[in-house]
Amino acid sequence: MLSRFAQAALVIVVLGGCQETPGFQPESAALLGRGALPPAAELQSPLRIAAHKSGSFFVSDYMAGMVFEVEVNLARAMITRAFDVSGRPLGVAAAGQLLLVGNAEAGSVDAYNAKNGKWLFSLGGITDPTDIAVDEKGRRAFVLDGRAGQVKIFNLKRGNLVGTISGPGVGEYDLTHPTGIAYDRGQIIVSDYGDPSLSVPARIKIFDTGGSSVIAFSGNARFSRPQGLDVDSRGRIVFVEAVAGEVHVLDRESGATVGVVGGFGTNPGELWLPLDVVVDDTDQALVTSNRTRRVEILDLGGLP
Amino acid sequence: MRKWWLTSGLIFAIAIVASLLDSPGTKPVSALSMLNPSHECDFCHNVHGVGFPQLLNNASVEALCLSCHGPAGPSSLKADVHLYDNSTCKDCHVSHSNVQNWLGGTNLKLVREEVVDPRLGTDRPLVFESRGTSVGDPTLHSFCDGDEDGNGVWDGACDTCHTDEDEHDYNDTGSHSHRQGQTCTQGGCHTHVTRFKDP
Repeated sequence: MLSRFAQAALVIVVLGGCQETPGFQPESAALLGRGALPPAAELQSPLRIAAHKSGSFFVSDYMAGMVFEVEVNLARAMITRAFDVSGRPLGVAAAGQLLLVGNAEAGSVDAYNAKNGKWLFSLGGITDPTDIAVDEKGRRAFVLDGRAGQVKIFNLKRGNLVGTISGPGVGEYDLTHPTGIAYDRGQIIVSDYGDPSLSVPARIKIFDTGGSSVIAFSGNARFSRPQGLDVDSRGRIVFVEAVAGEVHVLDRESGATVGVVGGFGTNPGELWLPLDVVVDDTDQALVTSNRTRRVEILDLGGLP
Repeated sequence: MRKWWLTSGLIFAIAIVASLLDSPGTKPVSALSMLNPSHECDFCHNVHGVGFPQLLNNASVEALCLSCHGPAGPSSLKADVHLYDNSTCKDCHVSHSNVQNWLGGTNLKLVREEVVDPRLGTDRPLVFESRGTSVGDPTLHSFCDGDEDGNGVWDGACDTCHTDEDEHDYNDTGSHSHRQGQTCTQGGCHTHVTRFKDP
């Protein structure tokens, strides 16, 4: 997706407005989705990011009430489309031609046509659709209902709930304060703040799609605010640590930290409240840096 | 005499420490944890592991606050970002406990007793003891009470920062009748997430 030249250097792609860099001006102001692309489209509060099969990425923007489509080409990124979605968007995912968006106000996941932005249907009964993952065939959506402490599994063809995983609690495989979710090769990976006041550590937890717990990695002293996550080309778990402003890579079997990239800050390449990450097939990590209003691209290729 | 004071002070300190040490099944209760059980010290301060040294600056404190109260955080009290791009949570909120305001009462929601006038750069007193009639609280000392106590100081949470708005300035100019005594941040009106702007 990115050139080898771009991979060689730490590629930093800046979107949105911030003091350090001028606001991004999109080159192609297409009128698509339910609303027009704003004249100077820029990120206000980038939250979750998801890859689309076309090679582009969807970024939910909580404050703008929009989902932006972002295309990355060499060292340049562009906002190419803006979807004026209902409510305040939280989680976002793409399933075939469906764009799935968590609606914080309605307590639903709203499905739009990813081509024209037309609303198609909604999945209800969700308290806090904070993050969404889909299976490899785009048939099932795994919705992390943050405050309910559950993963809710929906059949996207029928639009119905087909299962739930875990429940609120403080056990090793309960979801205490879950924040992010990813799906990979039959496994559901969830990040969880835990509850330090109850001596419940932050953890990364893996379940199979039947709801059985597989493994849980404690944050111990390495992380305490894990947010959105994904896997890299070797199946390792990649997640953002929101307070430290870091991207962590964990061995999927042992939970050992393979490496940490990024760091707290406001300069390009630094992260201030990173909330999600998506890793492309060349191990470039696209990270939403919420308070700098940017999407940063960090190279994970140098990690062992 | 000096020795007596030293001895008394030492005994007093030991007593305080002893009272904070765990008796079986109890933990010391911070002022903040009384506001919210999840706000024990170690919820924000990683006291026994690798801490976050950058917590020394306001930006990182904001990251910590928003890790829970931001859009992706587990708290239902969403703050996201505030009115001014260069402000942080600590400009309007204190971190650890509710504070006494200039009238001797206690402000709610960790709201400061003074905030900096965004236009003039000077401190302004702030009194926020009630969330207003929308939630069944009194109008007095709420977001904007129209100087109900009649002391001539417009120190409501909204009045304090408004210097040149049409409504709720911190003087008697303009209108003070708009939604007076109600909860400004509820009902989809002037929420944190919209930077308190009009809906």
